[in-house]
Amino acid sequence: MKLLLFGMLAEDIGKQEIVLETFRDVNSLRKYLLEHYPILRNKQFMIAVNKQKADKNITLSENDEIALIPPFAGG
Amino acid sequence: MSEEKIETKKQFFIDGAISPTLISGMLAKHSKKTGIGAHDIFLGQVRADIINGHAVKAIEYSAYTEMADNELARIREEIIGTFNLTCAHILHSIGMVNTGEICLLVLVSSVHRKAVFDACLEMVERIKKEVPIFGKEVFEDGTHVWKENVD
Repeated sequence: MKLLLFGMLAEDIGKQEIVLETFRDVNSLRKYLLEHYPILRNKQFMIAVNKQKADKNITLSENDEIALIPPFAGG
Repeated sequence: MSEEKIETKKQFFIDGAISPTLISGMLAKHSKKTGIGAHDIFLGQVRADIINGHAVKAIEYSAYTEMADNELARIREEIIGTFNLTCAHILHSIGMVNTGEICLLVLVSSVHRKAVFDACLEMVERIKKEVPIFGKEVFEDGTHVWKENVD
Protein backbone atom coordinates (compact mmCIF):
# COMPACT_ATOMS: atom_id res chain seq x y z
CA MET A 1 0.00 0.00 0.00
CA LYS A 2 1.08 3.55 -0.67
CA LEU A 3 1.75 5.96 2.16
CA LEU A 4 1.92 9.69 1.38
CA LEU A 5 3.94 12.00 3.60
CA PHE A 6 3.49 15.74 3.98
CA GLY A 7 5.22 18.78 5.45
CA MET A 8 7.69 18.17 8.26
CA LEU A 9 7.06 14.41 8.14
CA ALA A 10 8.16 14.21 4.49
CA GLU A 11 11.23 16.21 5.44
CA ASP A 12 12.04 14.07 8.52
CA ILE A 13 11.71 10.79 6.67
CA GLY A 14 13.26 12.17 3.48
CA LYS A 15 10.49 10.90 1.20
CA GLN A 16 7.10 12.03 -0.02
CA GLU A 17 5.85 8.52 -0.57
CA ILE A 18 6.65 5.08 0.85
CA VAL A 19 5.39 1.75 -0.46
CA LEU A 20 4.54 -0.69 2.34
CA GLU A 21 3.10 -4.12 2.71
CA THR A 22 -0.64 -3.97 3.31
CA PHE A 23 -1.57 -3.53 6.95
CA ARG A 24 -4.75 -4.94 8.37
CA ASP A 25 -5.83 -1.78 10.16
CA VAL A 26 -4.75 1.70 11.20
CA ASN A 27 -3.41 0.61 14.60
CA SER A 28 -1.08 -2.00 13.14
CA LEU A 29 0.16 0.51 10.56
CA ARG A 30 0.79 3.09 13.28
CA LYS A 31 2.68 0.53 15.39
CA TYR A 32 4.89 -0.41 12.42
CA LEU A 33 5.64 3.22 11.58
CA LEU A 34 6.66 4.09 15.13
CA GLU A 35 8.96 1.05 15.24
CA HIS A 36 10.60 1.67 11.88
CA TYR A 37 10.74 5.45 11.87
CA PRO A 38 11.75 6.41 15.43
CA ILE A 39 11.75 10.07 14.39
CA LEU A 40 7.94 9.85 14.39
CA ARG A 41 7.79 8.97 18.09
CA ASN A 42 7.96 12.54 19.30
CA LYS A 43 5.94 13.96 16.41
CA GLN A 44 2.31 14.86 16.33
CA PHE A 45 0.60 13.38 13.29
CA MET A 46 -2.69 12.01 12.12
CA ILE A 47 -3.40 9.24 9.64
CA ALA A 48 -5.84 9.82 6.80
CA VAL A 49 -7.38 6.98 4.81
CA ASN A 50 -8.72 7.86 1.38
CA LYS A 51 -8.52 11.56 2.24
CA GLN A 52 -10.53 11.20 5.44
CA LYS A 53 -9.17 11.54 8.94
CA ALA A 54 -9.03 8.07 10.49
CA ASP A 55 -10.30 8.64 14.03
CA LYS A 56 -11.01 4.99 14.63
CA ASN A 57 -9.01 1.85 14.00
CA ILE A 58 -10.52 1.22 10.59
CA THR A 59 -9.68 -1.80 8.42
CA LEU A 60 -7.30 -1.17 5.53
CA SER A 61 -7.03 -2.69 2.10
CA GLU A 62 -4.40 -2.78 -0.62
CA ASN A 63 -5.73 0.11 -2.70
CA ASP A 64 -6.37 2.57 0.11
CA GLU A 65 -4.58 5.88 -0.08
CA ILE A 66 -2.94 6.41 3.30
CA ALA A 67 -1.40 9.71 4.37
CA LEU A 68 0.63 10.85 7.37
CA ILE A 69 -0.39 14.38 8.13
CA PRO A 70 1.46 16.82 10.41
CA PRO A 71 -0.19 19.73 12.27
CA PHE A 72 -2.01 22.23 10.06
CA ALA A 73 -0.66 25.70 9.33
CA GLY A 74 -3.14 27.20 6.90
CA GLY A 75 -4.10 30.87 7.00
CA MET B 1 -3.63 32.21 -12.67
CA SER B 2 -6.53 33.45 -14.78
CA GLU B 3 -9.56 35.11 -13.24
CA GLU B 4 -11.88 32.57 -14.84
CA LYS B 5 -10.38 29.94 -12.58
CA ILE B 6 -11.37 31.91 -9.50
CA GLU B 7 -14.99 31.71 -10.63
CA THR B 8 -14.82 27.92 -10.40
CA LYS B 9 -16.03 27.17 -6.91
CA LYS B 10 -13.55 24.42 -6.25
CA GLN B 11 -10.45 26.39 -7.23
CA PHE B 12 -9.20 27.18 -3.75
CA PHE B 13 -5.44 27.34 -4.30
CA ILE B 14 -3.28 29.86 -6.08
CA ASP B 15 0.47 29.82 -6.72
CA GLY B 16 2.22 32.45 -4.62
CA ALA B 17 0.75 35.55 -3.00
CA ILE B 18 -2.81 36.82 -3.48
CA SER B 19 -2.41 40.23 -5.13
CA PRO B 20 -4.48 43.32 -4.26
CA THR B 21 -5.46 43.43 -7.96
CA LEU B 22 -6.91 39.95 -7.76
CA ILE B 23 -8.79 40.86 -4.57
CA SER B 24 -10.32 44.01 -6.06
CA GLY B 25 -11.28 42.05 -9.18
CA MET B 26 -13.10 39.46 -7.07
CA LEU B 27 -14.95 42.16 -5.19
CA ALA B 28 -15.91 43.97 -8.40
CA LYS B 29 -17.60 40.84 -9.73
CA HIS B 30 -20.21 41.14 -6.98
CA SER B 31 -21.64 44.43 -8.22
CA LYS B 32 -24.19 42.57 -10.36
CA LYS B 33 -25.46 40.56 -7.38
CA THR B 34 -27.69 43.35 -6.16
CA GLY B 35 -29.43 41.26 -3.51
CA ILE B 36 -26.24 41.49 -1.48
CA GLY B 37 -26.24 44.09 1.27
CA ALA B 38 -23.01 43.18 3.07
CA HIS B 39 -19.62 41.62 2.43
CA ASP B 40 -17.03 40.67 4.99
CA ILE B 41 -13.51 39.92 3.93
CA PHE B 42 -10.60 38.36 5.81
CA LEU B 43 -7.07 38.66 4.47
CA GLY B 44 -4.27 36.71 6.11
CA GLN B 45 -0.86 38.35 5.75
CA VAL B 46 2.52 36.70 6.29
CA ARG B 47 4.04 38.18 9.44
CA ALA B 48 7.75 38.74 10.02
CA ASP B 49 7.84 36.78 13.29
CA ILE B 50 11.12 36.70 15.16
CA ILE B 51 11.89 33.09 16.14
CA ASN B 52 15.04 32.46 18.23
CA GLY B 53 16.44 35.79 17.05
CA HIS B 54 15.80 35.13 13.35
CA ALA B 55 13.27 37.09 11.29
CA VAL B 56 10.88 35.14 9.08
CA LYS B 57 11.16 36.35 5.48
CA ALA B 58 8.55 34.09 3.85
CA ILE B 59 6.24 31.13 4.39
CA GLU B 60 6.35 28.28 1.91
CA TYR B 61 2.94 26.63 1.85
CA SER B 62 2.15 23.10 0.73
CA ALA B 63 -0.99 21.00 1.08
CA TYR B 64 -2.48 17.56 0.74
CA THR B 65 -4.33 19.19 -2.12
CA GLU B 66 -7.02 16.62 -2.86
CA MET B 67 -8.01 16.28 0.78
CA ALA B 68 -7.77 20.04 1.32
CA ASP B 69 -10.08 20.67 -1.65
CA ASN B 70 -12.65 18.29 -0.16
CA GLU B 71 -12.41 19.89 3.28
CA LEU B 72 -12.62 23.45 1.93
CA ALA B 73 -15.64 22.57 -0.20
CA ARG B 74 -17.34 20.99 2.81
CA ILE B 75 -16.62 23.95 5.12
CA ARG B 76 -17.78 26.41 2.48
CA GLU B 77 -21.05 24.57 1.82
CA GLU B 78 -21.80 24.15 5.52
CA ILE B 79 -21.20 27.82 6.29
CA ILE B 80 -23.22 29.03 3.29
CA GLY B 81 -26.09 26.89 4.63
CA THR B 82 -25.75 27.85 8.29
CA PHE B 83 -25.61 31.60 7.68
CA ASN B 84 -27.75 31.70 4.55
CA LEU B 85 -25.02 33.43 2.54
CA THR B 86 -25.47 34.67 -1.00
CA CYS B 87 -21.96 33.50 -1.86
CA ALA B 88 -18.58 32.68 -0.36
CA HIS B 89 -15.05 32.55 -1.75
CA ILE B 90 -11.90 31.04 -0.30
CA LEU B 91 -8.43 31.43 -1.78
CA HIS B 92 -5.22 30.13 -0.21
CA SER B 93 -1.65 30.42 -1.42
CA ILE B 94 0.59 27.49 -2.27
CA GLY B 95 4.36 27.94 -2.55
CA MET B 96 6.36 30.92 -1.37
CA VAL B 97 4.66 33.99 0.09
CA ASN B 98 6.88 36.81 1.37
CA THR B 99 6.25 38.73 4.58
CA GLY B 100 3.76 41.51 4.00
CA GLU B 101 1.99 39.57 1.26
CA ILE B 102 -1.49 38.02 1.43
CA CYS B 103 -1.77 34.23 1.78
CA LEU B 104 -5.48 33.71 2.60
CA LEU B 105 -8.65 35.37 1.41
CA VAL B 106 -12.14 34.67 2.72
CA LEU B 107 -14.93 36.72 1.17
CA VAL B 108 -18.50 36.14 2.30
CA SER B 109 -21.61 37.97 1.15
CA SER B 110 -25.18 38.12 2.35
CA VAL B 111 -28.25 40.29 2.58
CA HIS B 112 -27.37 41.75 5.99
CA ARG B 113 -24.22 42.43 8.02
CA LYS B 114 -24.67 40.12 11.03
CA ALA B 115 -24.49 36.95 8.94
CA VAL B 116 -21.29 37.95 7.18
CA PHE B 117 -19.40 38.91 10.35
CA ASP B 118 -20.27 35.58 11.98
CA ALA B 119 -19.71 33.52 8.82
CA CYS B 120 -16.34 35.07 8.05
CA LEU B 121 -14.99 34.39 11.54
CA GLU B 122 -16.21 30.80 11.54
CA MET B 123 -14.86 30.17 8.04
CA VAL B 124 -11.35 31.41 8.94
CA GLU B 125 -11.27 29.46 12.21
CA ARG B 126 -12.34 26.26 10.50
CA ILE B 127 -9.86 26.67 7.63
CA LYS B 128 -7.06 26.95 10.18
CA LYS B 129 -8.24 23.91 12.18
CA GLU B 130 -9.60 21.48 9.60
CA VAL B 131 -7.67 21.81 6.35
CA PRO B 132 -4.39 19.95 5.65
CA ILE B 133 -2.24 22.92 4.66
CA PHE B 134 1.37 23.05 5.88
CA GLY B 135 3.74 25.99 6.19
CA LYS B 136 7.48 26.34 6.39
CA GLU B 137 8.65 29.62 7.94
CA VAL B 138 11.78 30.49 6.01
CA PHE B 139 14.45 32.76 7.52
CA GLU B 140 16.87 35.19 5.84
CA ASP B 141 19.73 32.67 6.12
CA GLY B 142 17.73 29.97 4.32
CA THR B 143 16.98 27.85 7.41
CA HIS B 144 13.38 27.14 8.36
CA VAL B 145 10.95 25.92 11.00
CA TRP B 146 7.53 24.33 10.46
CA LYS B 147 4.59 26.49 11.42
CA GLU B 148 1.79 25.08 13.53
CA ASN B 149 -1.58 26.74 14.07
CA VAL B 150 -2.63 27.39 17.64
CA ASP B 151 -6.09 28.27 18.92
